[in-house]
Order: sequence, then structure tokens, then C-alpha cells
Amino acid sequence: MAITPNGAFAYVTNLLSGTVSVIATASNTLAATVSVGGEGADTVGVAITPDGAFAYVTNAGFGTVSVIATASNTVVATVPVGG
Amino acid sequence: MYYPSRRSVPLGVLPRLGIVALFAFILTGCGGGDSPTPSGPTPPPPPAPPPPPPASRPLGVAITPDGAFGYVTNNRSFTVSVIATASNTVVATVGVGSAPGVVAITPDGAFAYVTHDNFPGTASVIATASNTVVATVPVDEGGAAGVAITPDGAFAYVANANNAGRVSVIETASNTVVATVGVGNFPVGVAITPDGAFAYVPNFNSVFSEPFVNTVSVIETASNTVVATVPIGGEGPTLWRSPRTGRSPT
Repeated sequence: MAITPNGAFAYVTNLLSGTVSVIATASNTLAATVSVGGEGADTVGVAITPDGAFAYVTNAGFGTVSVIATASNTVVATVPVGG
Repeated sequence: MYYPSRRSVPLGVLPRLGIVALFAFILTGCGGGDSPTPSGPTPPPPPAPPPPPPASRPLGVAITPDGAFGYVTNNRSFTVSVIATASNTVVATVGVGSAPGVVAITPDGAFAYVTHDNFPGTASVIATASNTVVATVPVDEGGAAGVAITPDGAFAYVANANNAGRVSVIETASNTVVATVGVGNFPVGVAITPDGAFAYVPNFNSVFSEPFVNTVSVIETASNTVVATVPIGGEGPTLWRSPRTGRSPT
């Protein structure tokens, strides 16, 4: 789980569903659910850039990192990693 | 003309035909290529095997304070990928050794601390300027899982996910363990408060100990002692899945 620098949102990875839940911290309600590959993606880690613009999510099942634009909560890039 | 029905074929002929066919198969089938096409329905093709797991298995990710780079631990390929956030491409791959778990970066951005889910447990220190491993710190008997660095950058707290249930405190100046703090069984992560006063450590107790109560241990960083233990219930903190055991504390 990671929290945006302004404290407004918490990004939580859901391992089994391959999604990221976005929680609005002011109301502690679910603001968005972002699919980063669905079941099998094995989303594990998440980190947010210091400017709060992007969330980087590791997909252990796919060998990739998904980049979520926090403004739209959509995946804007998928980076294969490893080697 | 006379068309013998199947019923009119003398008993004993079919078995003999079968024996002939068997010899024919042995003589021709084993040679390959010349065997007659078998009659009858074609058996369905075997189901496609599941896709192989990715070679990398990325688990942890941390971003440098200037936002320029993301460091990703690849648990299965024993490397750390460095992603340039401007281009979202991998610009470096750092070999770090067995089963890297998670990663944290010092506040000045100079070093990345990588835990290893191995036995005995270690943490690797990557200099971000050169993207090379500059130190390997033995931390505990194994299963290093979580890592967090104090806001002043002076200490790295490493949670060792094993039955002993200890947190190792690494002094970053010397990269040596200066304290070992007993917490609950199987601590799977660690987070430090913004003022650096406390480290919060979730303990995934439910699998390994009785009673099955998950807890969060609160370590006072000034004294490196546990000042509170908070029961949180549930089946386990959703922080990390052991790549070694495959266990999913979700």
C-alpha cells in the first residue's frame, strides 16, 4: 500500500484479483478500482512518485510493472522487467 | 454376388487379423513415417500447457525522491530493474543475488536497500549513482521481507519473516546491524512514522503460532524496544506474499 504525497488517496494492491484499489482517505471510501491485468497478474508492490502523478505497481505474475496515472486512474504504461 | 456379413466371418479370424495388424505396426510403425494413418476418430489434442511463469517475478518497487527512477526487485531473476520514469523504460539491471524481496531508498536518494528472502537473511545496498551493490548486510536467520528507512536516513529497519520474529536495525553509515528487536512471529513488513519516532511492524501470526491473532508491533526507534502490540484480527496483513512459500497473506 502507498499513500499519495498529499495524503488524499491510498493505493492498495489486490494480489488475487490483479487490481489496485484507490481509497479516498478523507472519507475512507473506495474511489476507484484499477485493473492492471486481472487475475494472474499477482499485483504485489506499489510506490507513488513524489509529485503524486503516477503509481508504479509490480505484477509478479506477468513480470511487468504497470504505471497508473493517478489523475485518471488508468494504466498509461506497462514496463517489462527482469533479466 | 455374395457379401459376407460381419456375422458370417468365422470366429477366430478377427483375432488373427489383430495379430497381423500388431506385427505390421511393429514392423512399420517403429520405423516411423510409413505407418498407415490410424482409422477412427482423431483423439483431441492435449490441452495447451499453462504459460510459463515470468522469469522475473517483480515484487517490490520504490521510487527515488527526485522521482526520476523506480527500483523494482525481480524475485526470480535475482536482479533489480531500474526504470527511468520519464521514458518508462528499464535503464539498468543490477544483479543482487538470491531472491530479492522488497526495496526502500534512502531520503537522499543515494542508496537502495534490498531485502532477500533467503537463508540466512541478507540485505543488499545499491549505490544509485553507479547502480552497483556496495554492501551486503547479514540481517537475521532468514526471510527478510520488509524494509523501511528512517526519515533522517540514518537507519534501515528490516523485518525478517521467520518464526523468530525479529526486526534488524541497520545503521546506514556503517551498514552494520546495531540492534535486533523481537516482535511477533513472521513480521512481513515495516513502516516508519514521518517523524521517525516509531516503526510499525505487522506480524502474520496466524499460520505459525497460537493463538491465531495477527498483531502490529510498535517499535520506539530511540530505544529500539517494542512499546505496544496491537491485535488486528483477520487472516493476516495484506502486505506481501512469500515468494519462497507462495503463501498469500491476503
